[in-house]
Amino acid sequence: MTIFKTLLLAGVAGVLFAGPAAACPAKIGAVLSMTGSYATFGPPISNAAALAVEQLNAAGWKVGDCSKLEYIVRDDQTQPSVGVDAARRLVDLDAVGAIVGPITSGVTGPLLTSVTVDKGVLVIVSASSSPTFTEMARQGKLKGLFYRVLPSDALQAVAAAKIAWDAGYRKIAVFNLNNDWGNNLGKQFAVTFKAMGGEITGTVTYNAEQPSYRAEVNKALEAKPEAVYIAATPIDGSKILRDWISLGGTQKFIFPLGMNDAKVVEQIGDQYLKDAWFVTPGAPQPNSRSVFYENYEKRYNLDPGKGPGPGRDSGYDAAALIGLAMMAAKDYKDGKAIAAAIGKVTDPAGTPIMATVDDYRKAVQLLGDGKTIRYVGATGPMTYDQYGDVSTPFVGWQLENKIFVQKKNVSAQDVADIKSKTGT
Amino acid sequence: MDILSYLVFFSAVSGIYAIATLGLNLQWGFTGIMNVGVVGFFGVGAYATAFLTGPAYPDAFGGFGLPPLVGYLGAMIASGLAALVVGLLTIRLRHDFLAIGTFGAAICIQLLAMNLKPITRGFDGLHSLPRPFAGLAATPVAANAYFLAMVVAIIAAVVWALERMVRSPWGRVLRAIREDEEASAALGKNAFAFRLQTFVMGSMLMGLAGALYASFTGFVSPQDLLPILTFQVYVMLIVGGSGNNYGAVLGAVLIWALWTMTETFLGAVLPAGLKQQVSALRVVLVGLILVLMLLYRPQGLLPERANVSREARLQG
Repeated sequence: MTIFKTLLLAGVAGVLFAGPAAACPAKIGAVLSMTGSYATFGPPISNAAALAVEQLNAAGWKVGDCSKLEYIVRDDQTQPSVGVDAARRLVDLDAVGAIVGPITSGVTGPLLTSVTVDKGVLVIVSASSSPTFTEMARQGKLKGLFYRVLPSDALQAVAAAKIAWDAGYRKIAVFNLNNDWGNNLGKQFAVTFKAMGGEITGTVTYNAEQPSYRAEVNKALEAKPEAVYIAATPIDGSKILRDWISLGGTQKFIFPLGMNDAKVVEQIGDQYLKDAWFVTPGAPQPNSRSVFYENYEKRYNLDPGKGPGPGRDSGYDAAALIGLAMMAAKDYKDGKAIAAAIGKVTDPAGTPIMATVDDYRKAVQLLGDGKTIRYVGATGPMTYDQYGDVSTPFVGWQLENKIFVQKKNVSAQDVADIKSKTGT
Repeated sequence: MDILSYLVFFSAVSGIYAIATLGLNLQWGFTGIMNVGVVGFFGVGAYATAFLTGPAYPDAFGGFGLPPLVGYLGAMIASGLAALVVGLLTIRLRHDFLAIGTFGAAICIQLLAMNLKPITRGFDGLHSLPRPFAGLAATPVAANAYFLAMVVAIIAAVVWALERMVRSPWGRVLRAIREDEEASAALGKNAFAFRLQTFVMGSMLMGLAGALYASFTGFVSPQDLLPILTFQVYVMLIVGGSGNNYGAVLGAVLIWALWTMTETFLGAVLPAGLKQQVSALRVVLVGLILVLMLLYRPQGLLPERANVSREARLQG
């Protein structure tokens, strides 16, 4: 009882102590799944965002008299009610003007509807790719305070379908996780691939965190597909692949963003993944993506090749975009002003700025002079529409000696062309 | 002002949890029904109110645009009906079997929300649900404050009603069933009927909590229906005091504070090197406090009172 009381008092005191925050340093908040069922994704994404903030500081980040940028991450525990509270604490107690948004759409949704839009805080999500937010933006519910770094699932699946078609596959099975992400990818892949003239032998959906996926795998194998598109998370994906390979399924895999994880390669063995395509957003090499991975590996003492992983590049870009937009807006508190300045840092006519400290130094100078820049981030150059949706190029990766190598590029224009040609 | 804004928000959500905890207290605290499907009835309430009050979606059911109060009533009716169906099937089961049965029911409800896409939109969620008072109040903070006032009023009404109920002869039967079901049956009490009644009534409160949650956050998706919520509500009840309605409310507020606010607190006091581990440390802290409570104060912060009736006063 006494312990409890002390802790409670200490807690209340701590909360009161923590806010309201002093004006400078400027703060970038983040609500990410550091624990809970998405805990494999959260910490690396958070590290990437923290790296962006460190680099901006090293480059002399500056808004008015304030020359220090701080990064604060709060854990949503992969539970919406906790995530909403975390966001509320960030905007009320830490007085952040912009937030690197959650990984899952189930947290992003209530965070937007009950916290950030009302408060005029900008949210740039690192991963939530549900079309729901485009729909909400179209209805004017997000007031221009929402941006994505990842293109919506639909575009990713179009690029995957093109890579599958170009690889010569004509008869493909779709195997996807039963959630917003998996279903959207699966549906869009199937629709696009059929419109290109290919055959979809069937779509099998699976539920997360099952001990075995034999039944689902058997079902998908019945129609004897030539290749398979598997939209899975790394943990489930490894289990599915084990069942798939042991039941003698084709080893011509196509994976979306998420499966490009060193752990998957370790668990499955690269000899089974020789023909696998990993399709993720990103620009052709050499680019700021590879620079980012090198910096990330150096900063967090990882072996070369261990840097790439789901969401890291987009988490980095979300934080970098916010930091740059603050300078363009000459304001770090007002989310609306920061959101309005996103256009100034992703201006196609602006000076290209890559994800390096040297380039950020240039950006500080240019933005200080009131010029625009074009941020070419870890996920490549970004172009936003009025709903905060991004179009980026895509990359098809393959494994060579357990390291992901870029083998194919699909430009944003290619994706748009396919979409209009196939009417999807 | 901003601290106030946060505290209002925090109190509203913990108040919503308190209503669910009161529902569980009626079931587990007073009658000994081990309902491990709290989140299922919470979810039925959340979706029911979303259908009744939400905007029309081209690809989902609902969109009746009814006022929030109708939504809350509808949510209670829907979760009551769901509990009646689940209860008729499972309520004769004892402790652990009932726990498995109700847990299964909650999982079914989450799977329905995930997979009945033409009705629920699956994982895309139902968004832009009208938030009560949003149009009436001058600022979003004021709207949250009105909402909090409503939640507090609901809690007061629920506690008042529950206190009267559990102190009535009806309430004494519940405790008799909890302590010894055979003995109470031998006294001519129909245990099945009493258990079913409390199961339905408690679940209606959980449904009301779900409805309030959905209309407070304005968004509902299957991710709101994770089993962790059941666990949270149990922790709230056990720490607050199982069998004590005031304890249930106190437990909800304290545990929700522990679950959320400690992160900001730990972040402020921990040395820089440990800040990266704040999230993990918080999980450790929640677990530690639970274990300490169970070891040193298993009856909860506010234990059940021994007097069973307004007229009778027993030695505690």
